Amino acid sequence: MGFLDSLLGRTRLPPVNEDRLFAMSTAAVTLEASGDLRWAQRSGIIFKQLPPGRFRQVRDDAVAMVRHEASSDDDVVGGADGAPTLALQVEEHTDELGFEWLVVVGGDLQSTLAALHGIAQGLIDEGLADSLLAAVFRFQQGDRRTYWVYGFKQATFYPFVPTGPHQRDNGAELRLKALAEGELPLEPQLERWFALWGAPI
Amino acid sequence: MKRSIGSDHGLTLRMFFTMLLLAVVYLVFVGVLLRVGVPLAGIIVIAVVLLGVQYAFSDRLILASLRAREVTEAEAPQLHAAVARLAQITDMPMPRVAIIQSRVPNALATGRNPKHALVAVTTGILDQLDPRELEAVLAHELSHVIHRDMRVMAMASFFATVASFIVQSSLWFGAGLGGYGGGYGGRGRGGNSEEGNFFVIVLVAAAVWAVSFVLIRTLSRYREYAADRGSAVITQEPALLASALQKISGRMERIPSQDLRQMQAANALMFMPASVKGSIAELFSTHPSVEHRIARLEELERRLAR
Repeated sequence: MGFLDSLLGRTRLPPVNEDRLFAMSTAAVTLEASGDLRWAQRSGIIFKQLPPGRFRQVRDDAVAMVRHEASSDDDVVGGADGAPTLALQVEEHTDELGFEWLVVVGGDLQSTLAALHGIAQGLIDEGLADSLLAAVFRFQQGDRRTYWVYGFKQATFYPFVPTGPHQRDNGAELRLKALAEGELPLEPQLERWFALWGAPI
Repeated sequence: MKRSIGSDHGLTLRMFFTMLLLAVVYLVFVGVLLRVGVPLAGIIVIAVVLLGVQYAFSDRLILASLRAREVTEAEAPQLHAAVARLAQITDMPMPRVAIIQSRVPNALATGRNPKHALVAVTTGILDQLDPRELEAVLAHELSHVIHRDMRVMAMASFFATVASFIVQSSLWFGAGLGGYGGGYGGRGRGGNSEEGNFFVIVLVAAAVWAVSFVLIRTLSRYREYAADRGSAVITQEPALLASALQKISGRMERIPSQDLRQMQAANALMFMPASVKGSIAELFSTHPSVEHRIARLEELERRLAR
């Protein structure tokens, strides 16, 4: 928002950057090698609830797109009966704050990233860029759940380590930040490391 | 397929025109003061200091007078989470969050910029709105922060405050008027014209005060519309804020006026002014009427649905 926008009281939401999401693609390798941080094959996109008709449309597009992504990437693995089953699956959730989650499960990181990017792109093409909040990647560090969150408006990543309902381990988060320095575009302001409690990921 | 709220050029234009008029009034005022030979530099220095102090502390004073208590994430997890989501989607740092113990359903935001923002809600509004309506109200408040309304209104009221200061001190020291004229008259500059000048200054200041009052209130109402619109841009559902307004205005009428009066000092900042029934004409109020606000939101809703 520029000076004139605030002077004249025009609300403009910040533009969305969906492309820096791909920074996770190489960073994940480093995180695993140096931090024993394993990507847990669950990643998702969270966005503001849309009117019902529009949400159904977006979800159907996402599912179709992920299917396409999976098959074109030769990510189809043969089931026991020889019939192909999809490696990538899409779950949908609504959390207690009324935000929608589209969660991509399974597959490898590259096809997941392509799927997440595609879902975000779909929302943007529908004129719903303003609704996009974040992409979330679940990692496993030993027996602990950690998340990397990519804010679409901020175009940065930050770690989120919940330890209970509404409790997070700030120390662990800062250690993760140090670990990812130079690998991911990190959010410099700690006031922007927003908690995502109860992420269905 | 792209349906969006877009911008309201009419509102922008009216807001710009109001600020322009205010600037013209202030320029004339300063011109007259200079012409009459008032030591303007001194007055402005004093006013800057006084208003600067007021500007720096007013939000704390208002919050103290409302007995707003800042709450941690552990104390109000739901509220914190709702504010955090909105902050993230509008890319502003997490504002501080406070709760006011009051049955009056209301909310306000303070802070001169997003880094110093605080959002406060009453226990009444937490009880009465459902989570999505509350989200729309919070988005309205964050819009005020994003539009830097505290700063804009403080700047808009600067010379009006100077004018009111001149008028009020002339009333207080009116008795000393003779001494003023006489004292300078003694130096041979013509007591009568000094006295005349003094009256001109007070009259002009009174006129500036009155005109700028109406203009500032007009600007305030436009900025309320802008924040309502901002809420609609953020939530993408103008109807949510409309239903929150509807609910609150219905409840307001049933609240004892002593509860309302507790909040009246902060009316200009509140989501909905706690005016006791039989309020003055809209022209002089800080907020547009609820009916007008709802009508605008319904218009936005129609535009989105089209």
